[in-house]
Amino acid sequence: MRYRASARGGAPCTLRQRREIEQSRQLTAYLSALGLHGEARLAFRAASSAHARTKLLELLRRQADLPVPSSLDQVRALIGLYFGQAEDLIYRDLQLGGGPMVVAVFLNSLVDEKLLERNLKVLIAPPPQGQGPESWTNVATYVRLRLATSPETNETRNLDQAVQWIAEGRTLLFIAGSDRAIAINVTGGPHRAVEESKSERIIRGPREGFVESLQVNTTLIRRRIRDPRLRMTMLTVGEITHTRVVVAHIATVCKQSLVDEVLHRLRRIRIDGILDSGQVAEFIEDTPWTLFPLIRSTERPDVVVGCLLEGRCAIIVDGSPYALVVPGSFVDLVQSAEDYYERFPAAFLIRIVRLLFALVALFGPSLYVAMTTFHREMIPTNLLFSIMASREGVPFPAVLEALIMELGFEIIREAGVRMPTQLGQSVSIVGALILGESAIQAGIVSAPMIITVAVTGLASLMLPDVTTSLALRVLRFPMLLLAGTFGAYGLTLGGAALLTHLLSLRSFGVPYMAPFGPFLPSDFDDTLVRMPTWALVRRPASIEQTDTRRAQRKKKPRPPRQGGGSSA
Amino acid sequence: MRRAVALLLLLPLLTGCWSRRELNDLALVVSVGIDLVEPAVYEVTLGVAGPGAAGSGAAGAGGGQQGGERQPVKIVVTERGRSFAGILRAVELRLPRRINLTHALWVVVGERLAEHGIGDSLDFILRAPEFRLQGMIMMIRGRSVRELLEAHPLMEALESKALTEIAQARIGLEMRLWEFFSARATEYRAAMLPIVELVDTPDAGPIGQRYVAKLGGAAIMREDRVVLYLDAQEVRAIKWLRGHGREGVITVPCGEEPGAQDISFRITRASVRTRTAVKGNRPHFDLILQGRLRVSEMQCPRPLTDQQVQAELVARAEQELQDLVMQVIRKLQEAEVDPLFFGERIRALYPGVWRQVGGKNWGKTWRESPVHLTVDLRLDTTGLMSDPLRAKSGPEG
Repeated sequence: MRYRASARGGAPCTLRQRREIEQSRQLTAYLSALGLHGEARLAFRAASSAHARTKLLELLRRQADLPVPSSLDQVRALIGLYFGQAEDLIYRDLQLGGGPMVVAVFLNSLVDEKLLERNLKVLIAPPPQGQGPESWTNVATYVRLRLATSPETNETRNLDQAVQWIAEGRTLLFIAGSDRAIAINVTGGPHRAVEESKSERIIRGPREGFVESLQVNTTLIRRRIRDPRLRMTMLTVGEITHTRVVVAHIATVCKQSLVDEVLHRLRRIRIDGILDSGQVAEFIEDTPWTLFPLIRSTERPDVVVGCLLEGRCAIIVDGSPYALVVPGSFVDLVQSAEDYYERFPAAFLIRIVRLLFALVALFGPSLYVAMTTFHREMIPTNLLFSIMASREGVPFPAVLEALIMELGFEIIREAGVRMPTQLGQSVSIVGALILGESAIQAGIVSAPMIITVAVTGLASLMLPDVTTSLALRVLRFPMLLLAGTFGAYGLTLGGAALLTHLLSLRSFGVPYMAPFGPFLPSDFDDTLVRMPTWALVRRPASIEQTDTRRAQRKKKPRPPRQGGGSSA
Repeated sequence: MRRAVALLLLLPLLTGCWSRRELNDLALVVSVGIDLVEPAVYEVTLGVAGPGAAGSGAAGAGGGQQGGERQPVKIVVTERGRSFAGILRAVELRLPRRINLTHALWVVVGERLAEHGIGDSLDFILRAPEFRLQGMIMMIRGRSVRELLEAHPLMEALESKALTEIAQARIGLEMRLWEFFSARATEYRAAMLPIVELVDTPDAGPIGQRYVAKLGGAAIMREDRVVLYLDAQEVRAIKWLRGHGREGVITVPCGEEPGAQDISFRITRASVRTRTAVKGNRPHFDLILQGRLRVSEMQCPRPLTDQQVQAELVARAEQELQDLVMQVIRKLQEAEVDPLFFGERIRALYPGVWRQVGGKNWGKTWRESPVHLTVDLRLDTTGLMSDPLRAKSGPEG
C-alpha cells in the first residue's frame, strides 16, 4: 500500500500523521466491509487531506444506517472522523470484568464525571460467581444489566445515533466484538441556579423563575403539578443544535387536538438552530405578520401551571428561560400572576388601570397632538391657556415635538436596558431628568409635552407583558403621525384599523380578543374583574377543554349555621 | 396586505381635519363684543388671550419664571364693518395670528345694538362651526363694549372668565347662547339679556382702575330689541320663576312693627310649579313657589323659638316674595313679553286655544291672562343658634 503522505514526505514521522494514516486504514476497512467502495476510496485519501475527510463525513451522514463496528479501532477511527480532533472528547479503554475490552467515549464538558466514574467502576469489577463471560449470551445485554446504577441506558446498532448521543452528552460504551453501543445518560455541566424572575416581578406569590436548563424547568413544573396526568412530550428542533423542546399539558383537561396541533407545528420547523423560545414562537404563530404576541411567554412556572390548569399547552425550550403558552389571548396582557394571589377587589382595580394605561401608552401623545393642533375646543379654556403659555416660543410643530420626545424616551430606555448594570440606573435617571429639564429650559419642547411623554412611557412600562408593551411602543409612532396629519379623525381610523386587526387574529384557533371579540359572558369572571377563587368554578370557555369544571360550586366560605352543624 | 396599503393611500383623500394649526399660531378669542355704530355699521371688539409674559420674553429665560406667569395677557381689538365675517377678516390683517373662536365663550351685546334691534347681526355666531353655544351672552349698559372688555376683574385674569363665573354661581342671571337664540327663534318667546354694568368702586383701586364690572339686572327683548329693563332685585324673581331660586336671600323687617331691624333668610331649597287652565280661550296661570329657608341673620330681640314669631316672620317673607314676583309678572305683562315661556305651556297643552290666541298674538293674550301666585315657604332651621343673644330670657331679664 502506498499512502500519499508517505509518497510525498517519505516515512510518516509525526504522531498526528501516523494517527491519520491509522484512521484512514481503519475507515477503509470498515467501508469496504460494508461494500461502500466509493466511500472507501475517499477514506483512503482522507489520511492526508482534511478536505477529503469533510467530504467523507458528508457522504457518511447521508447513509441512513451505518452499523456500529465491532472493532474498537474502527470505532475510534469513525468517531475521530465525526468529531475531528475534539479536545473534550475522551476515549477511555477499560476491560469488562473478566471479559472483552470496552471503550467509553464521552465529551467531558457535558458529562458529570463523578457519576460516570461510579458507573464505570461497576463495569470493571469482576462479575459475581457463575456470571462470568462464559454465561453471557449477549455482552451488550449483560453490560446494560450491570449498569443499573446509571439513571438511563439505551443501546443502538446505528452509528449515527451513537455519535449523536455523544454530542448530546451521553457516554457511549463500545464493546469489542459487539455490534451494539450502549449509552449512559449522566449529563452534567454548569447551569444557573433557580432565582427570581427578572422580567415578571411580583410582590406576593412564588418567586422561582425558569432558568436555561430544560431539566430544571420541567422540574419546576412537575413539582407544582404532582399528578400523573401532567404529560410532557419531548422532541428536538434544529438540524444542528438539536434543541430539546418539551410540550406540556394536562391529559384530562387539555384537548388532545390542541396538543396534536402544537406538536404538528413544532415538527414542521426546519431550521439549523434554535437559541430561544422566541424563535420557536415565530415558527408556530397563526399570523406571522402581527405586532401582538399571539403566544404568551413567561418566565414564571406558576403562570405556566395556571395556564396548564386552564387547558392550555406549554412549550419549554432547552436553553431558554421563557416558556411559551398557547393559545394566547389579548386579556393576558392585563393579567399578572399576582392578581390571583392578592385580594380580588384590588386585582379588579389594577386590571382596569392596566387596560386604561395600555390605551394611554398607545394614544397618549397622539391625543395630545390631535387636541392641541386640531381640536382646541376639546381642551378646557384655562388648561389651554397654560398649554399655550408653555408652547410659546417652541420652534417645532407639536407632532415633531412629540416625535422628538418619544424618540428621546426610547433612547433613554434602550440605553438603560443595554448599559452594564452598574451604569444603567444612573443613565436612565440622569438621562430623563437632564434631557427633560434642559429641553424645557432651552425652549425646545414644552412642559406639557414632557409630562405626556413621561406618563406614556411609564404607562407602557406598567404592562406585565414585555412583548405587548413593545407592540404598543411601536404602534405609538404611526398613531402619532396619523394624529399629526388628520387629528382625531386619523386617530379614530388608526384605532379602528388596529381593532379590526386585533379582532381578526387568532391563536391556535382561539380568537385573540375573546371573550370580547366573540362575546363570551361566562368568561368575564376572570378577564377585567377577577372573581374570588371560590367563584371561579369553570375554566375559560374561549379555550376548549375536555373538562370544564375547575372547582365545586357553592363553596363560598361562611360561618357554620347555628344549631345544625356546618353546611355541606 | 395590498388592500391595507391601498386603503392607507386613499385615506388622505377623505375629509379630515385639515385645519392643522399650532397653538402658537393662534389668537385665542375669549370674548366677543358687538355694538352698533350707525345703522348697518357694526363695531366688533375681540378680547384675545395673548401669549403670557413668560412666553413673550426670550425663550431661554422662560423656564425659570414660568410658574408664576401663566396668566394670559389680554389684548383687545376693535374693528368696524358691515358684517361680522368681514370684520374678522379685517382684524386678521392686524393680528399676526389666526383668529380662533372655539373658546369665545362670552358674547357681549352693546346697549345701542340691543335697543336698536339686534336683527340678524349675530347670525355669524349661530352659523360658524367654531362658536360653541354653551357660551354666555350679556349686555353692557352705560359704557362701551370696549371699556368692558378692557376692564380688569378683581380675581380672575380675564373679564370673560370672571363674569361667567359670577353668572354661574347662580347669583346673577345665567343666559347661554343656545338659550338666547332659541328664545329669539320664536315670536312668542322673549329673549333676555343679563346686564353688565361698570360701577365705580374703591375695590378697583388695587388693580389700577376706578370701576369694576358687575352683573346687574336683565333686559327683556320683544322681537329683536330691548323693551324692558329689570333691576337686580327683580332679576331674583325671574330666577325664582326659572327654577333657580336657591341661594337667594330674602330680607324682611322683623320687629313687632316694621322698623329698621331686619331678618334675612337664606333660601336653601326652591321649586316652582306652574299649573295652567284655560277658561273660554283665556289662559289662567297658577304659580306655586315653594321654598325652604334658613335664618342667616336676625337683628331684633324676638324669640325665634316661639312658633308664633316664626310663623309671623315667615309670613312676612312670603309676602315679600309674593309682592316681588307679582310686580315682575305685571311688568312683563304690561310690556307684553314672555321671557319665562308661559306661552309654551299653552301651545303644548292647548293647541286648539293656541291657534286662536297664540303665535304672534301671544303678547296681547299674555297681558290679559290672570296669574295667581301662591308662595309657600318653610323655615328649616334657624342656623347655628336659635334666639338672638338679646332675646335670651336670662336672670337679668
